[in-house]
Amino acid sequence: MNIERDKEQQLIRQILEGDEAALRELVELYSDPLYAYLFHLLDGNRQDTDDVWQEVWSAMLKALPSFRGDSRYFTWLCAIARRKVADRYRRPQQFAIVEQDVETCENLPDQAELPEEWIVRRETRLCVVQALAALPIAHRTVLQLRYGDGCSVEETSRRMNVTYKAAESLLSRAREAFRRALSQTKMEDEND
Amino acid sequence: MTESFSESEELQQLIQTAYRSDWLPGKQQKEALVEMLALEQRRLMRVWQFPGLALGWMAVIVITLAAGALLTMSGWVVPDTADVRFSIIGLLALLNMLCVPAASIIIIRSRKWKQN
Repeated sequence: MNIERDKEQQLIRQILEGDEAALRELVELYSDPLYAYLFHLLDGNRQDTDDVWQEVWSAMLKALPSFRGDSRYFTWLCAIARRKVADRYRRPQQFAIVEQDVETCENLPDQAELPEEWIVRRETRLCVVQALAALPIAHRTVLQLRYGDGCSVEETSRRMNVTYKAAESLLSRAREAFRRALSQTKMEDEND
Repeated sequence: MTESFSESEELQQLIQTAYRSDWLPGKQQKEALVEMLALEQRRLMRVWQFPGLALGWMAVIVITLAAGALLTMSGWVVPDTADVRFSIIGLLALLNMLCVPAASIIIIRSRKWKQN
């Protein structure tokens, strides 16, 4: 089951009424996927990701009264993120050469890769992040540990503080939910 | 719980290249963000409440104007003498003169803040 829109709307209403706990909950729900989304948009530049991540949250809060709920909240957040990234690339001082570690260089285009292939690869990653953002935190965490970080089921269960059987069951449900969310995200992406 | 090898491989590849813990923010980073946003939320609350406040001011102006008009129509105030009653109406008019620009400024500024 995906994060319900009603729940999102309720959190947003509470935030607009000044509820700090609701704000904390919303950040808890979407801070990781937003960071990952920006990380891919900014080609793995962690410094820029840190800066834009904060800028996006701040801009989101200011624009929150204008969120009508026509789209999913995270889709709206991603639209703000894209605008902020575009703004950043418009600023000339942002083209300074930065040192990147080996891991972040994975996000840069491979020399043997065509630009179109690189774009498709990046768009796929963004779709995966959006699909994961639509899942409840437990599903997202189990998939991240098992497949993102490559932990065994046993290690995953230990880190999530659940039994082996419960981790297996959660993993199975998370995989199913992820497949549904991914196909829905791809469909929405094609419609845009 | 069974999981076919190819499915698992595909999922692993998809998620590993998109969502790994070392590509996510740390706990301290998130805490700092929440702190920053909470402060921002408190500041914005005042901005979000401004339209209501401005509407309240506008209501005060309308009521004052209506009261003035009623008093004038009732004949209680004769606007050609140094009457105390006329001074009251004069004060009300002055209040209106101050209220209108103040309310306008509040409305304009609240809109600007909302846009930002």
